[in-house]
Amino acid sequence: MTQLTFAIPSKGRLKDQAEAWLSACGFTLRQKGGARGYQADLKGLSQAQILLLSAREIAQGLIDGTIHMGITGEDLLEDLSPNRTDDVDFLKRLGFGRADVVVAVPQAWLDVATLADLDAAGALFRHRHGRRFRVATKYHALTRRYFAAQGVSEYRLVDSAGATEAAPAAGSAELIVDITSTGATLGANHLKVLDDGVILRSEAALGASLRADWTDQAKSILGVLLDAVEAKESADSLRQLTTGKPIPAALATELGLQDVDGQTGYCAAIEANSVARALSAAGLGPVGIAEVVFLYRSHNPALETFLAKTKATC
Amino acid sequence: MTPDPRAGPGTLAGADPFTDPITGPLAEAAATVFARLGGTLVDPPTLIDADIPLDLSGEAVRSRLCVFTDARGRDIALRPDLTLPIALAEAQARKAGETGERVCRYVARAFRLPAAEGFDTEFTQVGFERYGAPSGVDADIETFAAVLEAAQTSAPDLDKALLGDLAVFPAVVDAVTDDPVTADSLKRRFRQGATIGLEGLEDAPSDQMASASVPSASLADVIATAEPAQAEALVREMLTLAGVEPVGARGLDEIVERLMAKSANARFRGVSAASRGLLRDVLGMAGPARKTADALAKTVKSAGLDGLDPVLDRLSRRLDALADGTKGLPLHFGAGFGRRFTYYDGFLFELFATGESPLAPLAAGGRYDRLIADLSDGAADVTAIGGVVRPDRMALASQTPAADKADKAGKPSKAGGRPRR
Repeated sequence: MTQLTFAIPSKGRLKDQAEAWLSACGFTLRQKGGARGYQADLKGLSQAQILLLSAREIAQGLIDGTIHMGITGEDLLEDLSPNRTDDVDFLKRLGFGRADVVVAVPQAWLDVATLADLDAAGALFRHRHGRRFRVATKYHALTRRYFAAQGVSEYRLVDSAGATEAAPAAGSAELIVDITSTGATLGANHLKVLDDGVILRSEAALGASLRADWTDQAKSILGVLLDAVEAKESADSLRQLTTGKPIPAALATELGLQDVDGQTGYCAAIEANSVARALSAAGLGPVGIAEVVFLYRSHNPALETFLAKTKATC
Repeated sequence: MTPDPRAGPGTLAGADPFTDPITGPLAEAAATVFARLGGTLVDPPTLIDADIPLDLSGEAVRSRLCVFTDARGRDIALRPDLTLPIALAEAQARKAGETGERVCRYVARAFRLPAAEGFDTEFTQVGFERYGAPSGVDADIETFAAVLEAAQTSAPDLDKALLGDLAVFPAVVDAVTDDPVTADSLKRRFRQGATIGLEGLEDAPSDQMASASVPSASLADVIATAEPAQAEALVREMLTLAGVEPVGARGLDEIVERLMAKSANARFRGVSAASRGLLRDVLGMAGPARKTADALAKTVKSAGLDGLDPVLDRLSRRLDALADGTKGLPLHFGAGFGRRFTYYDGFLFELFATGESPLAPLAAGGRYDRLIADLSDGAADVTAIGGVVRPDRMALASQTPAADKADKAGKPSKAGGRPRR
C-alpha cells in the first residue's frame, strides 16, 4: 500500500519547470520506460509514489483526495473546486507557470471597457438577437463566480476545448474567458482584456489535498519533501560568513547576523558584502562569504500549518 | 416509522413523509382546491432544452438545473418547475392563433439541485397557471386566495405571507430619470438582486462613463452630435485606421448605439444624489404590509414624483383586499422582495410556516405577464399569473407541531404525524 502519492505534470513547459524546481530542492525525477513513461521515481523521496498526469487531472485528484500532493496551476484548482480552501492547501507558490485568467472582448467593442459595460451591452444584444452573449471558456466555475460577484448576468457559457481565442472570429462565441501570459495571442485575434477583467493571477503551486488520507507515514514523507524545500528557500536567501576571530554578540546584533556560533553567522544575501566589510573593519578578518546549498532549521512553518489543517479536517 | 421527509445521504429523490408523493392525500387536497378554478389538468414534458431556462434566466440558474448532455452534445434539463414547460406549450398555442382565457393545472414532479443542505432534488408541485385573464387586482387576489386555501388544507397555522410587487421599483426609477440608459441600468441592477445590492445604484450611471475605454471618452463628444449613420461611418473609419477587425455577431450599429447612449448618459450625469437616496430608501422598505405601503406612498409624494399613482393605487387596493381575505395572517411587504425571481414582473408572494427557512416557502405565486412574449419572440402576448404549493413542505409544517406534542406526552407520534384533518 502506497503511503503518499505525488503527482507531477506529465508534459510541456510545466513539467520541465517542475522537474527543474524539484531538482534544485535535491530531488531528481527519473521516468520509468524513458521519457514517454507515465510512472516515475523521485530520487531522494523514494517512499513516495510518483504519478505523471495532466495538470487538470492533478488538480481534480487533489480536490477529490485521490492524490496527496501535486504540482499544478492555481487556475485549475480554483476553477474545479467549489471551495478551494476546503479542498487543497497551497504549500508553496512556485513562481513559474504564471498566467492570468481574463475576460476578453473584441477590440472593436469601443463601448465596452468594463464588466458593467459588458452587462449593459449584453442586455441590448439580447434585445436585438433574442439570445445572450456567449462566453467561450474552459473556466466555467471561475467565470460564473466572477460574473456573479461583478453583477454580470447577460451571458451564456459555451465550452471551449482549445483555441478559445479563435471563438469570436469563428462565430461560436461573442467573447472569451481564457488564460494569457503576454496578451499576444489575444491581440492577434483582435481581442482586448476588460479594465476589470482579470479574474485570477495564477502560477504553478505545490498543492496538498485536505481530503486525502494523511497517515503518519504520509505526513513523514511530506515532511522530508517540505523540509528540503524550506531548507533550499532559506539557503537561497542567505549567505554564510566566516571570520578569523569570534564575533562579539553586540556586533552580531548591530549587523543583523543570525545564528552566530563562534566564527560563523548568517545574513541576508543582498547584505552579505556590506556586513563582511563591517566585520573586516572591526578587525575580525579575514571574512569569507559562502553560498549555502541547504539550511535546515528546527521549525518548518509551512509544514506545521498544513499538519494543523489536516488535524482539523480529520 | 415514517421516513424522514428530507432526503438522507445517498437519496436524491425526496422521500415524502407519509404519502405517495404525486397522488397522496396532501397533493390531492391541494389539487382539489385548484380544481375549482376550472381549466384542464396538464402533463407537460419532463425534459426541456436547457437553453430555454439558461437564456431566460442566465447562467446563475445553471447551479440549480439538472442538466445532461445527449449524444450530439445538446444540453437537456429536467424541468425546474412546471411554469416553464406549460408556458412553452401556451406560447406555441398562442402563436398558432389560440385566444381567450385558459387555466392549466398540474400535480407533478419538478427537479432542482439543492440550494442548501437538506433540500430535495426531486419534489412534487401542485399548482396552476392562468393565461389571458385581465391583469388586475381581482386576478391577483383570486390567485393568492386559492394558493392560501390549498396550503392550509394541511398547514393551517401559517407564520406569514411575504408580498412583493416588481412593478414598483421600476416605476420609481422612471419617475426619477428621463434618461433611458440610466433607467435601464438601474432596473437591471434591481433585478440582479442580492449579488449587486444597493451599492450598484451609486456607481452605475456616473462611473460607467468614467471607466469607458480609451477612445470612447473623446469619441463620445463627437458621436453625441452626429446622426447614427454618420457616427457609424466614423467608427468604421476609426477601426480601419487602427487596424482593428470587427469580429463576431455583434454589429457595428450596436456598438455605435451604445456609444451614443453612453455619451447622452454622460451629459445627463446619471441620477442626482437625492434621487439615489430615494431609490435606496424605496428598495429598503419592508415590514408589515399596510404600514410599509403607506410609508412608500408618503416617501414618493414628499419627493414630488409624478406618475406613480396607478402603481401605488393598485398596490394599496390589493393589500386592502388581501387583508380582508386572510383573517389575521401576518402580511409583509417589501419593495425589493422577489427581484431575483426570473419570470415574475408584477405581484408576487410566498407563504411560510413557522420556523421555515426563508429559502423554503411552502407555497408561492405571482404575475408574469411578459413571459409568453419572451418565449415566443414577441409573436404572442398574453397575461399570466400562477401559484404553486409544495406538499413536502406542507407535510413538514403539519407534522412538526404534532410530533412535538407526541414527544412531550411520551408517546410515539401516531402514524408519524398525519395531517390534522
